[in-house]
Amino acid sequence: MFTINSYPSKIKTIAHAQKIRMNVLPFRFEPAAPTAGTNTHVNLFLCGDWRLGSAPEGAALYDEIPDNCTAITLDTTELEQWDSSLMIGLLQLARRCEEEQITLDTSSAPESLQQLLNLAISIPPYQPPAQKPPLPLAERIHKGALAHWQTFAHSLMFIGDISLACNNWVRGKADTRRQDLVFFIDQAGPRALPIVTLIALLVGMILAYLGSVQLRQLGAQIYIADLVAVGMVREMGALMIAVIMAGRTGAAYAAQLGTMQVNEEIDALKTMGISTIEFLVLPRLLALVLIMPILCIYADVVGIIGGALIATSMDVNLLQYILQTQGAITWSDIFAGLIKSVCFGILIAIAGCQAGINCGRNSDAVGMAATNAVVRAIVYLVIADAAFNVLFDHVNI
Amino acid sequence: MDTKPFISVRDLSIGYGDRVVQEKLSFDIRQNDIFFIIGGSGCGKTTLLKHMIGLIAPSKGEVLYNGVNLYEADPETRLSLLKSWGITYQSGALFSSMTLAENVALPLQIYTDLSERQIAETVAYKLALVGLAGYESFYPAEISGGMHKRAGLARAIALDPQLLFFDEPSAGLDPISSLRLDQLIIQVCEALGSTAIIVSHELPSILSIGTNCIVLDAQTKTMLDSGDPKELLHHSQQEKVRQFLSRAGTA
Repeated sequence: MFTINSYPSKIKTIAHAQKIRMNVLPFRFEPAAPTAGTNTHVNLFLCGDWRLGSAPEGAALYDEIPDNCTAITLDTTELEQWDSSLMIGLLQLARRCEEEQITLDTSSAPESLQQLLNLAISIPPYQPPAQKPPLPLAERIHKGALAHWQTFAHSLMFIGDISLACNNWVRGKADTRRQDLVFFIDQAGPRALPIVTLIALLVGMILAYLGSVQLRQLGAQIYIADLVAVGMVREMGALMIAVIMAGRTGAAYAAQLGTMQVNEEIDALKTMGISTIEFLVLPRLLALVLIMPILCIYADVVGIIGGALIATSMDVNLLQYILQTQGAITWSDIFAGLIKSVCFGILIAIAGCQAGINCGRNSDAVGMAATNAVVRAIVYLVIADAAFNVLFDHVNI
Repeated sequence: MDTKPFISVRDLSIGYGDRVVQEKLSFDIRQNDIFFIIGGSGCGKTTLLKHMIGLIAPSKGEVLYNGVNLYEADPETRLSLLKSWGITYQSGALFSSMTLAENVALPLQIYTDLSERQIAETVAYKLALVGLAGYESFYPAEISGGMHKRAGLARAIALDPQLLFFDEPSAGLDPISSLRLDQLIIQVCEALGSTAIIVSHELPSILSIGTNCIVLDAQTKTMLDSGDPKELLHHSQQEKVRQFLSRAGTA
């Protein structure tokens, strides 16, 4: 890291000493009074050009301070062009002189040089607080567990706040704007149709291919319709829509709210007495709750069409496929898919909004919030889907 | 002082797309000027700065740097011009994923052949110059707004630029910090022989350190007057300009 103090203080190589003797370096130390016997007071002659790139390293100046020196007087009569490179050397020289109690007299230097030097040394360097000793293992485990518990508690509080906000909304007392709800429905629904169509169609085709590999061996291609219909309606329709929404809408929610956090817009809402949950989270959550079942049904239909495209290319009549599909799916299958999609919508909104609301105050944090939103949403989705399947199995849906 | 124009702005129209913010702007900036672009809020000061530093191409007119038109220059000339500038933005515009030292070191690493040690020394000096010695390993998120501005200045002066652009340098700073920043701008410009172009409506700064200025007006969409702000304060032909600048005397 960039700390000048971490460098060795006295590095005097032979080559360096030779440069001094050959007057290659643009400075030299000379006794102020040659007849005095002890060279405790020296003049530092700066000469020639000091330019970034061609000037010696800053440490070169203090490396050459003669032993037993107590006072240095700067002489700039031979100095020509200079820039920051000279100041870098002088700043380090000044700090070294202060440490070793050597008097540095810069009064004969140009005024601008003195001003810059004074400016740089007028504020003492920031001293970081002493590092605390590492905590014992038990304490570290305790702190880690506590942090996880707090995260969990915050999530529960966030869900609790959303519940209260929903209650207020039902009673018509929430700070939720209708135009926001319409805007987010438009964002999550119609604008997502192209990607939903593409993914659902391909998933339907994949399911059909998957089934056809086995079913063709038995001459039972007609059951491709059953596989695609049940697979899309009960499982893949809701799950694939949820994955798309987690990546598209959940991440967008996190980025939007995160940017609002960075711009202090959320602080402004709080100080206006407006509930951030009702104003920001609720319209997003309601939009997903309303739009997810519709998208799920749409994806089911498109997926079944995708399956039909494959099935009809495998000697299955289109009418047969439709009739087989009708017979394969029941209302409970459709109901199961819709229940899942609503629940997935809630989970995606919670993951996205919570990541956004808890975002830090810089651009990195916004990126991290978007990533967290997607990762959390997908984890929630998989857990919830597994739980739903177990539950539906138990209640024979 | 060299009277030959260092920067010439000729019949410049600025704006965003079809929306014209200012037009018929013509003025000169001499070497070593502390030049202020002043005017009320929303008159287009920052927009003019963005046109001057190459962020937005003008719809009409030209900006000449020592006779070179930034927008018509070949990529090599344009790059050499950009390298000779230092720009500080309103918020500091520090890269949040980098420490202060890494932020200041970035132009040195890209544009110079300095060794790691020389870069480290330069960074330490530049940060010390703006009063941030010891903060090398801090991230932008860990420092205050005033420190952001100073760190932004340290990055802007990393390459000892000939030309320094400041966008509202004193905004949000306390009077002492603002005064210190003014002194710093003067001292850096004097020591490095740099010219400063400052967008501001901080009248104490304008009158204390400005050597030249233009006053923009949102209503007429052009500049009202130009010259030494201390002269304009009492002798401008435009009453609006005198009123604008005299608020400093009463403040």
